[in-house]
This record gives sequence, structure tokens and C-alpha cells, in this order.
Amino acid sequence: MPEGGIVLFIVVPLAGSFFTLLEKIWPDRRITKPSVLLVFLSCLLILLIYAKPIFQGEEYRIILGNWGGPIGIAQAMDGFAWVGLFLVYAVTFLALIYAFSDKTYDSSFYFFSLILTSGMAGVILAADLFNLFVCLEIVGISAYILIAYAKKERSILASFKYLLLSSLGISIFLLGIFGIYRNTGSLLFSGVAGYFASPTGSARETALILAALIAGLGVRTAFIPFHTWLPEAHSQAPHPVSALLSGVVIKVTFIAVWRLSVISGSLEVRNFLLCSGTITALVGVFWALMQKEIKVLLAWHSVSQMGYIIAGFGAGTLLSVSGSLFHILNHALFKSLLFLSLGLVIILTNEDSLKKIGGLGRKYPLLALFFTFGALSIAGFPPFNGFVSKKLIMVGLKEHPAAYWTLWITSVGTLASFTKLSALFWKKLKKQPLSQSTPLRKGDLQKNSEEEVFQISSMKKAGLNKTAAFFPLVVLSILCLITGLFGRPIFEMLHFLIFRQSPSGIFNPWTMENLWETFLVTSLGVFSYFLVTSRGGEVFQSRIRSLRLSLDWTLVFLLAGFISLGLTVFLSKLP
Amino acid sequence: MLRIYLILILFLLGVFGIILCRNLIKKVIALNIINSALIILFIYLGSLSGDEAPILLDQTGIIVDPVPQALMLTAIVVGICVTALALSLVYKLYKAYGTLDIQEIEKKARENA
Repeated sequence: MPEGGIVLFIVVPLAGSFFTLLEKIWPDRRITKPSVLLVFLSCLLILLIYAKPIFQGEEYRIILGNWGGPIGIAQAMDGFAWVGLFLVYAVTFLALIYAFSDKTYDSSFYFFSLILTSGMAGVILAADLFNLFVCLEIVGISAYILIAYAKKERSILASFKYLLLSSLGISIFLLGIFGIYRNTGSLLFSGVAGYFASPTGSARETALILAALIAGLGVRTAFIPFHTWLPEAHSQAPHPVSALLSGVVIKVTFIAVWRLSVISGSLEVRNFLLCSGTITALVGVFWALMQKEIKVLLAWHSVSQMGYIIAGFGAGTLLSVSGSLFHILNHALFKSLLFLSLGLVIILTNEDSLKKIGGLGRKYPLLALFFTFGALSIAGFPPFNGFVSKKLIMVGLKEHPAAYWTLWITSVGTLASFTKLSALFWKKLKKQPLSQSTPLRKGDLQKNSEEEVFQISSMKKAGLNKTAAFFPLVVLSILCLITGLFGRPIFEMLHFLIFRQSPSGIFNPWTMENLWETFLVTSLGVFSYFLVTSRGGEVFQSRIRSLRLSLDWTLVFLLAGFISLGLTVFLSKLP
Repeated sequence: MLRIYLILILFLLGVFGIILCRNLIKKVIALNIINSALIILFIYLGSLSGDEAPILLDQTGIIVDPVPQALMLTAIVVGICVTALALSLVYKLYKAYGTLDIQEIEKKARENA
């Protein structure tokens, strides 16, 4: 394969975005959708061509513009990047097909989606810091616009918060770039690796640089304490965009965090990620359980599942790291499935509160089936994919009992909150959506008693194209099942792609012990579901929901996270 | 060293502004101040490496390292895009909520939810 070909992964979506905009000039030429299809099919095809050499262990490196040395724009593609690119194209493709079903998305929507895709491919392939910075900003700007595309007040506010936080984050990242350039005169990842191998600066400076680089990316990856923007931004975006953001955008920046922390070889950063990841998982699932809006609940689950991924990476054992990559893949599949299928529920019922929807299963059995696939995957139920990757991470975490048990509790919470969510499909609603005895804030009670029970409109009435809406759901459900059933070969493949060696022992998730544990988690989860939906639980939920961070505090959180990360690295460097 | 401290003060001013100002436009301006501080930092660093403009006609003195300048040109462009987008979002927020005060806006948003 020619080395220069890897540029195509960035150039093809960028060129395609140009063609989507032509429909703005000639509205009667329907070229937007065909060009989107063409872009993704050709990108996936190119990816397929590269598959063989990549799986044989080849790596590609190019420096654009014939500049060479530390000046040119360096790009590299290895097995890790291949998996990342596959995720980006597959999930974005399916999310955009889903968007085809709805006529409200016009050509500018597809334009920004393609720019986003191109930016994400750039982040994955980047092999120098400044290139990474530019691609991150491309991803950021198109993401802000796509979130605000819903044109609701709340989504514009969410988009603005995201913009402010991640711009501050990226400024901190730029500070890190400055430190590297000042000390090495190079921006290439190899230069960065050289600097951290034998730092020329003082310990204080090295700690500052490392913290700046990781914290700047951390804002986009959303681990605690940088997670504050995510629930609002991901839940208020249009449904396909939510799937994209939760499915791939946060993963892509995590890939950059992954690379930088591997390059820096810093044990402190790994430990920080392990701690932060476990806390993120638990806090995320706790807040998810407390929510009453469908998409906010799902968005908090993205925080929680990212916690698993980050903790698995932070632990640093062979099993947990490859489990982490496996979970990146799986989470992208089932979370986009969940966002898209529940997005359909929201469109059909015109309602986004859990309490006002119920008994959908009879009217839409197919939708209920897709949801069940996604929910069982995220809850880690055999034989779905979440089961395999979560088990991998857990087995890899055995050396850290605190983290292990925190994640164990998290899986109980995950099950409980998805039982809560599944009530959409099986729970029968009473005539009055809320019983009088449920104490809530005054305004809520009044609003609810006035409202009718929700109306289910048909797909046709909602103006949806059934094929385009259901096709991505079918594909994602099948993929969730396949990656679960063939968990072991896929794990071995990913392990080889990361470490260039086959796994030493044979990992088998299908043991009696694991199945017994799943049973235990399930029963505890259902028990805690009944606990939180009891009368006292509802009061507790609404009290927790009323706690919200203001924008100023989220900014303080960001800076506190940056400073604490810097101090962690600095203090552990002291003799 | 004094100059580095001045740049640090500029950076911190921006950070305080972005946290403490309640007006959305002032927050965006504070973001710009942070960005400017970083740009000045890079340019200042680059200017230390030589004393002649990097125009390779007749090389006599030591030229200034052109890489930081090129990088900052990109950073400035990115900064402008972000600022423009931020201001348009602020405008939309102003139209939706009738105020620029972030605390007022968040209060109203909470009541609506």
C-alpha cells in the first residue's frame, strides 16, 4: 500500500463536505445524500484495503509537504489507528443514515458532520502535537455547531458551555505544546517521547507540561473532574449527533490521551487515570440513576462507561488495556444504538420524560427489541459485547481491589438504571401520569396534572422514513451480538494490534463463576431499581437532580483538575 | 524574566475573567485574553532565538526561529473562528433569554426544564 494513501482518510470527507454544500446553491439537485454515502463507502473501502498490511503488523508514517524533520505535518497509522478509524466511519455512517430518515436535517447538517468526521480522522492519525491541536479544534467547532443545531434554548446553552470549557482546555493544551517546543524544538510525538525519557527542564516544568497536555485533552474526554459539560451537551444535541458525540467523539480524544500517556511513559498519569476513571464510573452511574429525562440518563451513562475505559487503561495490565480498547469499540456500538432507538421513542411520543411514557412495547415491539439489545449490552449481560469487555477490564483490575469493587458496584447501578429506562416499554401508565402522593417540587406537580397522557404517533405521521430509521438500528444490534459472541477472537485481534503479540494465557469469559456473578449483579440491580423508585427514592432523586453545577463552578473544576494533576505528577517525582 | 511574569499576569487575568465575569460577552473576551497571552508567549520565545527576519536572501545574522510564528498564525485563525462562533451563540442566548447575565440565564433555564 502506498504510504501517502493515509491522507485520504482526512481528505475524502473534507472533499465530500464541499459537495454537500452545493445543494444550498442548487436546491433542486439532490446531491447531499449521495455524496455522504459515497464518502463513507469509499472511506470504508480504503480502510479495507489497508486492513491486510496493518493486521500483518505494518505501520505507515508520512510527513506532509516535503518539509521533513520537525517542521512538517506528521501523520502515522498503526493498528490502533485502524480500529479508531473503523469506529469513526462505521458509527458516523450509521448515524447519518438515521438522519436521512428525518427531513429536518438539511445539507448544512451533513456538511458539518463530514467536517467533524474529517477532524476525527485527523486526531487519530496525528503524529505531531500541533497537528493534533488543529484537528481537535476542527472537531470542537463542528461539534459545537451540531449541538446547537437542535435550535432549542437549552441546546444553545449546552453548546456554549461546551465551547467555553473546551476552549479553556485547549488553551491549557497549547501551554503544554509551548513547553515541549521550548525544550526540544520539535513537535513530533517522537520528540515528545525523547523529552519525557530524559527531561531537560526542571521537575516542576516537566510536571506542568505533562499535566497541561493531559488536562487539555481530558476536557474533551470527560473524565472527572472534566466531565461537567458532557451530560447537557450530549443530551441536548439532535439524536444522530448525540449518538455521534457519545459514540465516537469522546473516544477519539481518548485515543489521543492514550497515545500521549504511552509516549510520556509516566506512571503517575496512569495512576491518576485509574483513580479518576473508577470515580468517574461510579459517579456517572449514580447520577444516571437519578435522572428522569431519557437522554440525560443516557448521557450520564456515557460518563460512566468512559470511566470503565479510562480505569482499564490506567491499570496498565495487558488484559485491562486491551479490554479497554475492546470496550471503546463496544461502547461506541451499543451507546449509539441506544441513543438512536430512544431518539425514535422521543420523536414518536414527543416527550422526553421517563415518567410520562410507558407501555410502548406493544405498539413498537421491534423498537423494544433494539433497545433490549443495547440495554443488555451496556449492562454486561451474556452473550452481548459489554459482558466480554467488562469482564476483561475487571479481570485486569484484580490487583487493585478498591477499583475492582467500585466497578462492581457500578455494574449494579448500570443494571438498575437500565431497568428504570426499560419501563418505557413494559410499564403500564395510570390515567394520571403521576400519582398524587409523589412529592415533587410545586411547579412540577401542577404541570403534570394538567398534561394529557402522551400520544403515540405513527412513523408516517412523524414524517420519518422507516427504512432509513431502522436500518442503522438493525446493523448496530447485529454488531453488538456478533462482537459479544465472537468476543474471544476479537479480543485476541485487538491485543495483537496494540501489543504486537498474542495474549499469553487463554481468556475465557464463559465460566460458571462469571455467569453466577452476572446473576448476582442482576438481582442486586433489580433490587436497587425498586429501591430508587419507591416513594422515598423518588424524593431522594428529585433532591439530587436539583443540585446542579453552574458554569462558573465547572470552570473552577477544570482548573482544579489541571492543578491537581500537575501536583500529583510533581509530588511523585520528588525524592 | 520580567516579560514572562507579565505574560503570566495576562494569562491569569484571563482566567479570573472567565470565571468571575457574569456577562457572557466578557467571558468570551476573557477567553481571547488567555489566547493572546499564549500567542505572545510563543512569539516572545521565538524572538529570543535570533535577531533578523527569516527572509533567506542574504544570510548575515542569526535568523529568528520562524516555526513559533507560523504556529501562532494558525492558532490566531483558530481563535478567531472560536470567538465568532461563541459570539453568535451568545447572541442566540440573548435572544432566547433576554439577558447576558449567565446566572440569570441558568436560573431561567432551570425553571424551564
